[in-house]
Amino acid sequence: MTYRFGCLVGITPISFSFASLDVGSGTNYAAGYYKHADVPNEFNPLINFGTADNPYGAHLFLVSAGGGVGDTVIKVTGTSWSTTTHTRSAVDSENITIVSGEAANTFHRTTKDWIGAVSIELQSGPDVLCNYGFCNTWTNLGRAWTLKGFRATWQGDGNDAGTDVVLYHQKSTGWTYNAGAPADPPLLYSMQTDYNTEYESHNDEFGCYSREGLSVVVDASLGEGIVAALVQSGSRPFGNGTLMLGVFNG
Amino acid sequence: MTYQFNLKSRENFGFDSLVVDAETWDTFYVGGYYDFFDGNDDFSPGAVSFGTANSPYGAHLLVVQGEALVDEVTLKVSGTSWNDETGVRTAGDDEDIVIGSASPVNSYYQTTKKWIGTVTIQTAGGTAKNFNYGWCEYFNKQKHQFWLKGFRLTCYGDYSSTSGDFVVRHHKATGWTYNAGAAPTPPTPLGRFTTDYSTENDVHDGDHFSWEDQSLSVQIDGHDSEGLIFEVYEGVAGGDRPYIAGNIEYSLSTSA
Repeated sequence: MTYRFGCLVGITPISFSFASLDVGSGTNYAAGYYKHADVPNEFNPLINFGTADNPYGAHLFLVSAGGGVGDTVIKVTGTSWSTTTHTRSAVDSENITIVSGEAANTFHRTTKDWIGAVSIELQSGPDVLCNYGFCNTWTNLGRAWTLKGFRATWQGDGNDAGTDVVLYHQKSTGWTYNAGAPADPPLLYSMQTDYNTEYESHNDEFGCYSREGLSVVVDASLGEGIVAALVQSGSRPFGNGTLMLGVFNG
Repeated sequence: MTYQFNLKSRENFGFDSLVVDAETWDTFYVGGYYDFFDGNDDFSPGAVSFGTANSPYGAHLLVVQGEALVDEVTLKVSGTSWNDETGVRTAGDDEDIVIGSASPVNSYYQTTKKWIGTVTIQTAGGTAKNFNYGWCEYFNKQKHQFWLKGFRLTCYGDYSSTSGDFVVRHHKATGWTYNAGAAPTPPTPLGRFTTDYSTENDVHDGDHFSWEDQSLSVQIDGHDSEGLIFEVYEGVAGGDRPYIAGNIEYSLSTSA
């Protein structure tokens, strides 16, 4: 069976616009975003993450290098924003517990969303190196849903041989801790992988990356979601981009 | 298996900052727009022209009453109309806005028709009084009643701005304020970014950001000239562009 957007009862197309960063290389996002710290930390002593007063509206996540002997408690402190109660709470905090002996690459996330800079500090237990960052994902309002397909289209706004369109399935499994680099989120699909060679952006040329017939269950009630990354190695490869997700609410 | 998309749905609108040279404080709209005349007029004697020739506004003409009336006032709006239900363009069309003598100051009226290009507005009956006026175009879910259950903004900061803002507006006929010599004030918004976040509302070059509120349940009578408009303030001077690849997503429902 072929699932084409709008042609099968129950499939809802959800669209997001995207564009390149106005820099030479980097990653922009659609439908949400990741903001990764470049290198891991033990949060002992306390560190600050994020820019003061920047409205991130995102969860703080950790990817551990593996638990120590005894539980490790890490405290995140800052200003939180509740999307469900419409409440800003200054000087809020939340603890994340890395359990004793947990496996490397284990993902943790605050339940709260944060705005502005946060501080992250070891409260108790052994030091544990963690990748960390902010994550904001498209969750379909906390329901379980199924990704049936996606389609990204754009017009090349510059030449770039290093472009990629990547879909991540934000979830608690499938992460990879990296020493000296940001963590790798759970990868779903990559244009460079699928297209192998023909993934370069050229000025004024149109591009499209799509997949249909998917059946990726995204359980937003467990904090899962979708994030698309638009990777560039040169100047503005993506112009007037649109990402469409084929969503089945069930 | 649950089929919910008829009960709850999403509407997404993308946006980027404007590229302008001269404006000092840039404001633009997403999913609709307001375009107000910065002042007022009594449309008498003679007709007042509004809008740029051949500009495809596709919008209703609105007026906000600025003075008490002494009799029934008829405002005649003339121009080229566009009917988005029949797909018919009508040159030389007109519509009367008839306002009863008891209508109080700050009352809001709009044409049922949409207009493209320049229109003229003239007091065609009664004693002329001052009004604010302008264009309005809004998302009304194909003229259906719906409930706004929430919204989610995501965006990338491409230039630092500590004075920007985002506003979710419920376009409706009540809650307007006439302003002499200036544009009218629309109804109190459903959400304002700088109010919600209070302090953490500075956009920084190179940082993503998000604003989400899913606590709402606001009835929008799209079948009765109501709708949604997303208003964006850049808060920076000149052609600097703080917002890249912005998306505003409305969460909608067919019931409360």
